[in-house]
Amino acid sequence: MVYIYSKNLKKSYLMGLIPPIFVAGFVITIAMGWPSLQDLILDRLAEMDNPIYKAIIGDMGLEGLGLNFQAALFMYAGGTMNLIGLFVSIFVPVKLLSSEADEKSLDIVLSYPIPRWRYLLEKFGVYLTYNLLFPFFMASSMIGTAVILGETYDVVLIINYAFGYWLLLFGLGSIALFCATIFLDSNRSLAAAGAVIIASYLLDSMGGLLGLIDLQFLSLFHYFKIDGILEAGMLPLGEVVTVIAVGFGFLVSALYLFDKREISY
Amino acid sequence: MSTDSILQVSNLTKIYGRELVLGGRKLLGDQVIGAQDVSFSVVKGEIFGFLGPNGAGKTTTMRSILDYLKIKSGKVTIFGLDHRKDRIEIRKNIGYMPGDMALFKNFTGEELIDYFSKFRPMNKEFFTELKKNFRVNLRKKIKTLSTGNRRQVGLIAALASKPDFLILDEPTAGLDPLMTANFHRIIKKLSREEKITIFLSSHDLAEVQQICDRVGIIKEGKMILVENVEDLKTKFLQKCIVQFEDTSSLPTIDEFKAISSVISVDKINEHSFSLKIQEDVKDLLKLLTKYPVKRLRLEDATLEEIFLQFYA
Repeated sequence: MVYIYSKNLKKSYLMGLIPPIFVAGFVITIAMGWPSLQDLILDRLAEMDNPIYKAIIGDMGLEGLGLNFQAALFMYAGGTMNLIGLFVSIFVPVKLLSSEADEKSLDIVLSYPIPRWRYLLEKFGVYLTYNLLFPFFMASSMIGTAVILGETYDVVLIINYAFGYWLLLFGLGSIALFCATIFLDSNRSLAAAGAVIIASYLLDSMGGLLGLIDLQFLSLFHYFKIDGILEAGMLPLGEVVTVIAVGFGFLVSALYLFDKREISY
Repeated sequence: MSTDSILQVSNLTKIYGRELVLGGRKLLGDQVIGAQDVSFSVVKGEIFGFLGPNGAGKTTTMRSILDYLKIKSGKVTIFGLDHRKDRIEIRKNIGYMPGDMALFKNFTGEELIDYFSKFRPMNKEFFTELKKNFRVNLRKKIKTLSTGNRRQVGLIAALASKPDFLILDEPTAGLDPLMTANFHRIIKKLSREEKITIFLSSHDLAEVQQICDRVGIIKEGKMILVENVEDLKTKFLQKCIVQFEDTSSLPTIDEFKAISSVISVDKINEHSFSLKIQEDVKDLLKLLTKYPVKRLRLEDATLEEIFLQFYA
């Protein structure tokens, strides 16, 4: 029934597992260093209020958390996930299609009675499935280390943030996939997806400095900030609807385009 | 359209690229004709050979037939179904091997064929027969196989479901002579015994001559000829070697050239001439009766010579 999904899930387990394990490993490393490096980490956390830092690594909305272990984990793990997510959401969805276009294996696959849209959707499903490991590994390593160290933590915040991160990867991945269906080949697809997603990231991270605050809502990176989740007690519904709508819109457009377009190299 | 026509191509035109024309002047872009007004049909159970040199439009035509490329105009039906509208239905019964074939490198041959068989179930008995004939190790990863062995995997994948219609783009390119011979035997058997229709392109004229029932020759995107292979050889070109009794009474080269069916004349030695004749030999025989002919040998040209006649 979903052979393309299950086969690709099995075949790409290594690439799917390494980034989330890296994030979990990072959280555990911070936790291990926490007792001896607590002051240093908290100093760094305090520095993060600086608008220049926010512009470079993105504003995660940590202000509402205070200076504690949980905030430190969010700063390091969340910051790392933001950067990993930036690359994962550009490279993986584009490569789902463009690597096959580059190798010209699409011809033989599409000669079988599979609707093109379904083929692409099942492959995108693999991307979404492995991306579920990011929030899972992040949340479990954060909660686990907090429990071991006897530090306070907010389960609702962690789970909501993690799920929001997954939704963000869905939205960004759909944009990248749409770029891949337009261009097919890796070079142009990566350039287009990279330009759109990195511009979106910069719009959010540097928008404040550049006086583009009114335009920041156009960037998906602007949503699901920690202070917003804390305020609403959950993922803000409007932001969830926006990100899902953008992701869904681009995904449907990508599937439609791939189904109708010419497969030329 | 013939009632047992499996593939019907009518006036297929494919143009690559786009042009921006304003007031009759081209402002931007460039267009290249991939195929122009290509028409032919392939009937049930026949092996149709598609001939042409590189860039003639063979792959463009095949990929247009399979709806990978959007055609500018024309109509293509396979099993009587529209190639675009009924794309999925048609693919349930088609085996395709692209010329520029690439397979998933991290799959083994077995995994790949098993994966594809989920979409078009394989004929297990025939698959076993194919494995015996193509001696490629299907347990090896595709990336470790040579080009020839990869093509064998591709052929097995295309044939494994024993589809009613096979579209093969230069199927034997890269295969060794033994595997090529095996492939020819399988293809002939499928066509003769199972009435499976095969549409293949090739550079190898000897191959086409050996296995095909009909042949289409494409030149610069235009189908210049569709003919039965046997008829083609007799109808289009024959070679004639004529030897005369003595040198005192010989026809001149101009006398030969005056005959409309004679394409070329070469004097081999003092007594003999070699001629290339198209279609009718009656006028030539009439001329020869006036001279003392010692020996006359008439033979069909090879497909290669016919092909060169079009491409020279």
